[in-house]
Amino acid sequence: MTRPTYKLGLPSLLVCALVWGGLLSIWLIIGRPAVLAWLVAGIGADGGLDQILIWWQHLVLGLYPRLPVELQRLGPDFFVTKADQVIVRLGLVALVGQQLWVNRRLVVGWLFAAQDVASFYVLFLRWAASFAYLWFGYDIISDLWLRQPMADWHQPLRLVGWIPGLITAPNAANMIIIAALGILCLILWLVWDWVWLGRLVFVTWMIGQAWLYSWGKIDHTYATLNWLMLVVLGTKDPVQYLRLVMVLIAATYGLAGVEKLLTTGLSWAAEANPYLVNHGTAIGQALGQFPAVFTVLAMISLLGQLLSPWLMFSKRRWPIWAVWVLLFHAGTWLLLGAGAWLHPWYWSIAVCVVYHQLYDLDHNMD
Amino acid sequence: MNAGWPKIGVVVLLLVWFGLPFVLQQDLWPMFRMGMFSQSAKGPMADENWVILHGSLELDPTTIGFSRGGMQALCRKAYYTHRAQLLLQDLAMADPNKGKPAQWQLLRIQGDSTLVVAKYRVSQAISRPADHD
Repeated sequence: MTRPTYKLGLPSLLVCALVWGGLLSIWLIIGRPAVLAWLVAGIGADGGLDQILIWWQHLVLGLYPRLPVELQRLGPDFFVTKADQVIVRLGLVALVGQQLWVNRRLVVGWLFAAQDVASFYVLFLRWAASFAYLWFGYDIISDLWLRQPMADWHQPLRLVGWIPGLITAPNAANMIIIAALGILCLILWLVWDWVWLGRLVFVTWMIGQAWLYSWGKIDHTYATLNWLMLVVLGTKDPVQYLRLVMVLIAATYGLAGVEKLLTTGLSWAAEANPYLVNHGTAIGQALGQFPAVFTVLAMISLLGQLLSPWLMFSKRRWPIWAVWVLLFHAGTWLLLGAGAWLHPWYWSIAVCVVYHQLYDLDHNMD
Repeated sequence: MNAGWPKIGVVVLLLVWFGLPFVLQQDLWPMFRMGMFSQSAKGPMADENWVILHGSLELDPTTIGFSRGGMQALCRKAYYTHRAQLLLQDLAMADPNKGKPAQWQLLRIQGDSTLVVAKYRVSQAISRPADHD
């Protein structure tokens, strides 16, 4: 049986390019002027947003519930540029999807390559996930407890906000039940190693976050930790899925860099200093007096994000990535007040350490 | 070679998981758009800032369970939906030092200008308007 090799898939690539080109043309000729007129009407006329194309209104406001508020602040041009980005990004995702499809044998074979079960590392991951669950779970419940008088501002999440228990703000009884259930299941899972108990712990972990983000702002505090929790709590042998977790973490960091390039462009680092001046901590605002220094730091941040996929999988380069992760999150906490001193994303380093201990990588990865 | 449809399904799911919020430029929890700090800091309204004063002290939002960014978003929403009074009333209720006779104020700061958006005294009671957002 031949080993699959990388293919470009030229015919399907051309089809994708043609379809995307057609979509872009329709957008530029018909869609863009219509959307701009709709947005301008929304600001210029009383109730304009309520009167034009009800189905379109429902679709857009369902996806962007903050649009009426943000339209007042940022104006229609800002949102038309966002709409342009939708078309550009569709093309990029279609390209990635086409490449994944054409090379699916190669991708799946690499992603799910079986490894020997190493009980020490499984144990290590379980205790790491348990510690993270208790440490950050306490943080989440503490914040929610303090927020109880702020129930007027609770706003259910879009995709999961219809689930009973997530429609309204959590009360003391709900929080106690979920926390007690989570801790009990966690203890029993550690003792019995019954995978359904671990999955129940994961559900309570996600419920806590769903509550936390139901006040109008979704943070990314647990974005990478969630992947580790899912695999460690949700599977019998998390080591088998470590490469998948690594890919997910690499994609998360990488996309954060791509977003900066697509949204602001190469000038992002040079333009970042006002963040410190306007929104920084006391240390950040002090550093904001030296724009050149922060520009360099911002460039290192951006480069680290974009290069994460390249650094993480290399046996030689991953320590550089680990140091960058430590400094990056410590920096955003110290200067911008984002995250915490024990940042949940640090758990990515633990995944990387275990991965490089267990996976015998091809030399061509270097 | 059969790549295994469940495994291909996982890859397709992941493409959608990352691709959908990426295309829509919107967090659709539990799917994340990784757009933190991606907007230009020189963009429109990037210098808009919110301060809540309790007496003469600035409120530390972490004492009532919010991050700084979370409280900024809440203040913005309160201002643009004309519910700043309700926000101050709820903050007075949530404050761990509640009951202390002090005035609450919401300030909107942009560049050199400062606007007092709303004021609230602990003894003051207001009717609660319906959520229009």
